This record gives sequence, C-alpha cells and structure tokens, in this order.
Amino acid sequence: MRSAFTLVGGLILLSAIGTVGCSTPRKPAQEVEKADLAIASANTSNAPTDAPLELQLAREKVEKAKSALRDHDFKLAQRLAEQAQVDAQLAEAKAESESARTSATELEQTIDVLRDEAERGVGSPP
Amino acid sequence: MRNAWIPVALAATIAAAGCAASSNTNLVNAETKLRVAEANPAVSAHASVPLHEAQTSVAAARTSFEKGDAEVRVDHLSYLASRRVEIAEAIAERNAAQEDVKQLSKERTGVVLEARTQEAEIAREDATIAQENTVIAERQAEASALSAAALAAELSALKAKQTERGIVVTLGDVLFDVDRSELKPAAMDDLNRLAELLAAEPRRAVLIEGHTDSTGTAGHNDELSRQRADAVASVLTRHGIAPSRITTRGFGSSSPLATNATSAGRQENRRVEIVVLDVSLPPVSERSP
Repeated sequence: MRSAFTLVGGLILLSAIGTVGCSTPRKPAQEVEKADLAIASANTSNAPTDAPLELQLAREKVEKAKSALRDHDFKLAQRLAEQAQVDAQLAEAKAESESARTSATELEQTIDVLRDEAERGVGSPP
Repeated sequence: MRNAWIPVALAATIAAAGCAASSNTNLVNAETKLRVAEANPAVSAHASVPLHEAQTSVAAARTSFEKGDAEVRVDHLSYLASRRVEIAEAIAERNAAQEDVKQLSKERTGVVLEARTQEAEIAREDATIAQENTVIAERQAEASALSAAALAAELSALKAKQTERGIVVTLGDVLFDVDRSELKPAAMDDLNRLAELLAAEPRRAVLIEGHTDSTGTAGHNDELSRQRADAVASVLTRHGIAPSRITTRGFGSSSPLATNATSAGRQENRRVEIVVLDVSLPPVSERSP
C-alpha cells in the first residue's frame, strides 16, 4: 500500500512539474519584450508597406501574449511571443528582399537608358 | 509488487494516448517547405545560416512529435519551423538581389565610362577628319598647281608663253593664206593638241584674239582679224569645247607686237593669240579693242 501511494504521489508530483514545465514567469515576459523589439525593427524597414500581413500577425500575437501574461497563462504567452518574433522577422526579411529587388530593377533600367543614349550619340552626326 | 505495476501501466497508457495522432499536418507542411528550400540552390548559396536554423527548428518539431508531446506544442514548434524556412528564403532573395545591385552598379559605371570613351574617340576622329580635310585641300591646291605645270609643259610644245593674263599660244601668219581667214591644214595639229588640253582643263576659259598688220583699211583689218579668231574658235568647238568658254575678238592692227615698217615686223604682227586663262581670272580681255 505504501509503495503504491508513493508511486501515485510520485506520479502526481511528476505531472504537476510537467504542467509547469521548465518555464517560469520571467521567461514569457522576456519573450514578449523580444517580440516588441522584433516588431520595432520591422517597422524601420519597408515592412509596413511590403509585408503588412506578417507584420499585422506579429502585432496581434504580441497583444494576445501580453493579455495572456496578465491572465497568468504563461505557456500561452510564451508561445504567442515566440510566434510574434518569427512573424516580425519574416516581415522584415520580405521587406528587405523587396527593397533590394527594386534597387536592382531600377539599376537595370538606368543602364538600358544609358546604353540607348550612348548608341544614339554614336549615330548622330558630329 | 503487483500493485506497483498498475500505476506504471496506467501512466504508459496515458502517455500512449497522447501519441494518438499518426501525423501532424503542420509538421508535415513545415518539413515539405524545408525540402523545397533545401532543393533551391539560391537558398544554400545566399542564406546557409538561416537555412541551418530552419533545419534545426524542423528537427525540434519532429522530435517533439515523436516524443509524444501535446499537439499544441507540436503545432507551435511546426509554426516556428515553417516561418524560419520562409525567413531563410526571403533572406536568400535579399542577398541575391544585393549581389545583383553590386554587379549592376559596376556595369553602370562601365557603361558611363564607355560612353565617355566613345565621346572622346569621336572628338579625336573629328579632329583627325578636320586634319585630313586640310591635307586634302592642300593636295588639291598642289594638284592645281601641278596641272598648271603639266599644262604649261604641253603648251611649251605649242611654243606657248606664260604671261600675266595666262598662257598664250600664238598662231602665226603662215597658218592662213594671204588675206584669208580659213585655217591651213598645218594649223590642225597644234589646234588638236590645244583642244585636248582644254578638254582636260574644263575650268579654264579661252580668249582668241585676231591681229593684222597695218596694211589695208582699219575696217578691213578689224573684219579679217575677227574672222580669223572665229575660225580658230570654230575648230575648238568642233572638238567639243563649249562655246561659253571661248571669247573671240578682232583687234585689227591696233595691237602690234613689232614694227610695221619692216616685212619681218609685219609678219609678226599678223597673228592669232590664243590665251588660256587661269581659273581665277574672268574670261574678258583686259585690253580694249
């Protein structure tokens, strides 16, 4: 009887630990902070115009994470904050990719114009 | 001892119940996305570190699933992994485009340099052409001078003289019968030669001036000298020299070369002068009849 009680007690203890996991209240709050920083960084790029969907997702998740923190739902807060971070990072990466592509296209056009001018210059009479 | 196994068996059943799902859609999607990214050479070329992070994320999600973690957890890790694959792809595109920008900048510089070089080249060519035109003009001037010299050489065979008016060929009295204006055959060789030379020098005009000695009336001498000049002119036009190039004049006895007192002098005065003019001189005689 005593060994069974110990085992059951042990199981309950284990499951209690399992529910809380490794996370403490400090970590979710840090993750939320990191998510805020990632969104701020994305805002400095063209993400608001070039990747609005991903940026919006990040904002919504951060808000939900903060409200989860207030509700002491730390696991949920952690998950939402982590997801908000990658959403913001993706928004920024997409925006930077768009900017670089636009620069390349503009340069190509400039070169075409310059080449045309050079050819016309050669053909025109002195 | 038998009792101890029941909680363990119960725990194992509960754990097994947690692994009820045979697959997780989000995990499979993340793994598929990863395979696509790995197959794209641009991603490993331009975003190898982000790609590696994505691979680690996918592996963590897979491990979590195999371990039997809660679906919420597996879904969450699969979401992170999926986003990290997309991030790797976006970073690869950005870096590839930035490479393009570098290359294109160089190309633009190259095109600008080329255009400037071409402009410089054209300017040089223009200068060379201008120089060549100067040389050509100089050579043409030389050629005119030479052709004048060649002409003069030919005309020396005609016993021509260079004067300030031009080159003067004198046809003597012996080429006409007395008091006649018809040219004798002996004149034809010289006139043929003269016609050929005039054909080769189309810019030169010709004055044909007839002269007599003082024998006979002025009126008669004027008429005779004019007729003789016309006779010479008509030989030249028959050879194809344009009449517009020829001006004839009869001076009568008004312009003697020598004295009319002697026979020899009078013979000298009886002549037709053919003046082949320089190109620049107007085809009008400066001497008044």
